[in-house]
Amino acid sequence: MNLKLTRRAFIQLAGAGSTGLLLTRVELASARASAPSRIFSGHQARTVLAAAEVIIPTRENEPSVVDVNVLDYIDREIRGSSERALFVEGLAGLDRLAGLLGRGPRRFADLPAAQRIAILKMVEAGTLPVDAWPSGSGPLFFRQLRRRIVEGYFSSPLVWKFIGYGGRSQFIGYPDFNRWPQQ
Amino acid sequence: MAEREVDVCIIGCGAAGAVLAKECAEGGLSVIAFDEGPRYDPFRDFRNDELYAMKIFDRARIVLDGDDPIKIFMVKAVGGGTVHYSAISLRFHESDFRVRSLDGVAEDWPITYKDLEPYYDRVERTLGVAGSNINPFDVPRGPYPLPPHELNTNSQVIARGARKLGLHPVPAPLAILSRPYDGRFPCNQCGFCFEGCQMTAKSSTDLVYVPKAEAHGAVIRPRCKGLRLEVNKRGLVEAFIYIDERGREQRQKAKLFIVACNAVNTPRLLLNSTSNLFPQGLANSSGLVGKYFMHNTVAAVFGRFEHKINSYKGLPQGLIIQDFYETDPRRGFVRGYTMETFYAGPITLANGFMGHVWGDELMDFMRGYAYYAALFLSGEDLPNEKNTVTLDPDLKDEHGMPLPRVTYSYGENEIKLRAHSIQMAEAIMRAAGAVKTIGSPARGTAHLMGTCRMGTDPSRSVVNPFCQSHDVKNLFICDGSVFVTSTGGNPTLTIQALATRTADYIVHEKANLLT
Ligand SMILES: Cc1cc2nc3c(=O)[nH]c(=O)nc-3n(C[C@H](O)[C@H](O)[C@H](O)COP(=O)(O)OP(=O)(O)OC[C@H]3O[C@@H](n4cnc5c(N)ncnc54)[C@H](O)[C@@H]3O)c2cc1C
Ligand code: SF4
Repeated sequence: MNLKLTRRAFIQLAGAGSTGLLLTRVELASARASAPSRIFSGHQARTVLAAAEVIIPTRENEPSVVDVNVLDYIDREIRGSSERALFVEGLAGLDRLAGLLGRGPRRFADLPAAQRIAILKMVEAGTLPVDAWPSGSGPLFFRQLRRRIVEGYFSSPLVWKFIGYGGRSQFIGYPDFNRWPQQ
Repeated sequence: MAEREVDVCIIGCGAAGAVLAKECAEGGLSVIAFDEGPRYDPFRDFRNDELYAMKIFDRARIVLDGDDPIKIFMVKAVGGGTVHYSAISLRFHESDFRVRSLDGVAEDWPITYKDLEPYYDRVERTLGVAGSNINPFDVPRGPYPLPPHELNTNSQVIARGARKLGLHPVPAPLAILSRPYDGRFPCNQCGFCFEGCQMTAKSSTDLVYVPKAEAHGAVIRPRCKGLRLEVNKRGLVEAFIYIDERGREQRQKAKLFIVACNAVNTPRLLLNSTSNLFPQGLANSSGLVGKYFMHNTVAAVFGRFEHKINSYKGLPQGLIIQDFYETDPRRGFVRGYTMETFYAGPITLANGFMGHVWGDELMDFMRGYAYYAALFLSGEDLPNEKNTVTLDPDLKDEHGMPLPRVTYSYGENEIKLRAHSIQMAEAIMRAAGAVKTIGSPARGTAHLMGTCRMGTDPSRSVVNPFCQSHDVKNLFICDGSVFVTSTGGNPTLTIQALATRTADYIVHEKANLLT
């Protein structure tokens, strides 16, 4: 699964003229995201995935937020709703905070995971300098971002298989519902 | 445009409203019942799909406030919360009606268990409640209409742990068919009760009561949103004003009106019905409409096992434990709680029960999805005048009706009770062989009570023991909002029993009431 994606992503990246050889998950993400998103710019999509990756961090053999195309889910969900404005504002806010963190024009999606986590924790708690997020929508943005990412991820049959969830069971139900756990 | 005047106009067709519609119609009254939600066809509209269900069950816009703001779950649909509920159908215990006398807190109900007993019987028979009367803590009672459901693995594991501690786990009484009954299919253990039952095995009121109401001539009007009630010069309710399914404002006249919109939306409608005669809202001379909002103290505990439990398979809510239901002074708090097995799909766990964590902590939990047994803890929340439903001064819905604002803080007794319930659930998990336990703060509730409580003193209550407004003779209020205390269990069977009793009273007294 990962392998296939890696190759496709790599081809896309290469086609776009990237010289990077060591592809991080985020770079993969941006490669996939740039094409399908109808509401986010390439950079915004990259930012969403950079957040998704630390909200739902997965291991090598587990389906990642990119594999299950969380971005596409969010895209479909918030298109044409007022949530979109919240996201656009929030994503810009993440970049502003990233800029405050270090010297030079740094963007959220370029930060290492630990710093992305630190920023998201501040946004979640709303403990932000006022001028970094004037509207104060940070905690609401984080809640919606987290919620949508979780929805997109855990509604995927790939993920169901990974965590051992059976999903839909009608119209026969679960005949083995009462099986005693095997010792 | 005014519609033909009817005997009884019911606003809200949920757990209580549908029962009222059937019982009043069967009693020979002409009935119209409005609900702001749609009417679902289970086979066509429901799926075994968590995300899909979250979308069709409208999220209510409610402003949350207080020290412990609590997320409110309710369902806009004919059938109300019962479309979505897990159908645990508990009777109150005798002590629940006498909390003031026994424990020196809260208030006594103006009625007793004996007053409700025949109505509990009737509702259980109509719903086809499946259960077993072996619960040593339950009120003395006859057999349930249907035999209990087989326990799923989660319930079996927890039963074993509880028995090791000397507790008394019993099959939960469920308004879910264990045999074919009343033309409906029995449950086939699909495990999707929260998503709406496609098999029609779950006895939601839209499936059980609404068709019977219609068979007796009641008219059910989905997608009609109530705005307010209008009174005439004599101080009686004259008309119900609503927005119909096509967005037009309409008036419905009736001889008698029953508000059954649940403990958040009922006070909202009453407080929104101001007039010269009733400047602080309808039925509110006591000032208590919206006061004493209660839910049940909530918590959940997961036990991680070494072997797969697959708790999502089968009826998750199969087992209850009521050893800690009654007051025991040694525990340092009054009243108690019911422990109930439960489980949910991955999104509900990750966004709801584990909504407070993310990153590695969330994923470490979710990797164990198939390995947890789980207990839900539903405890008594003592009434507190400061816990309220009010109209938000600024925010309005799309019809210009102020949004409800729910202000809630746990009291000291609730905090102690909750901590005790978590401790006991952890002990059960360990006794069952769990390698570790994980607690969830579970900051949401669907058990909405209080806000128009019943009593005999018009200055200290909103309705009389038959759910009739003290102030307005042709106005009844009948749903979770009339509760005086919340009990350590689930409210719906009692809401339905009260509705049956109220309808009986209206039918019996029609010569006086319908003039
Ligand atoms: C997931 C879930 C699980 C649950 N599990 C259980 C359980 O196992 N056991 C249990 O006892 N309880 C359970 N409950 C709670 C149960 O659903 C409620 O206690 C019950 O439905 C409340 O009944 P009610 O008549 O007071 O209000 P509701 O059932 O909420 O009915 C009120 C109705 O009024 C309508 N309405 C509201 N405002 C207006 C308006 N302005 N105009 C027109 N219509 C309006 C609403 O659409 C709704 O249909 C659960 C609830 C949920 C959501
Ligand atoms: S578990 Fe039973 S009652 Fe629940 S939805 Fe499935 S068939 Fe219906």
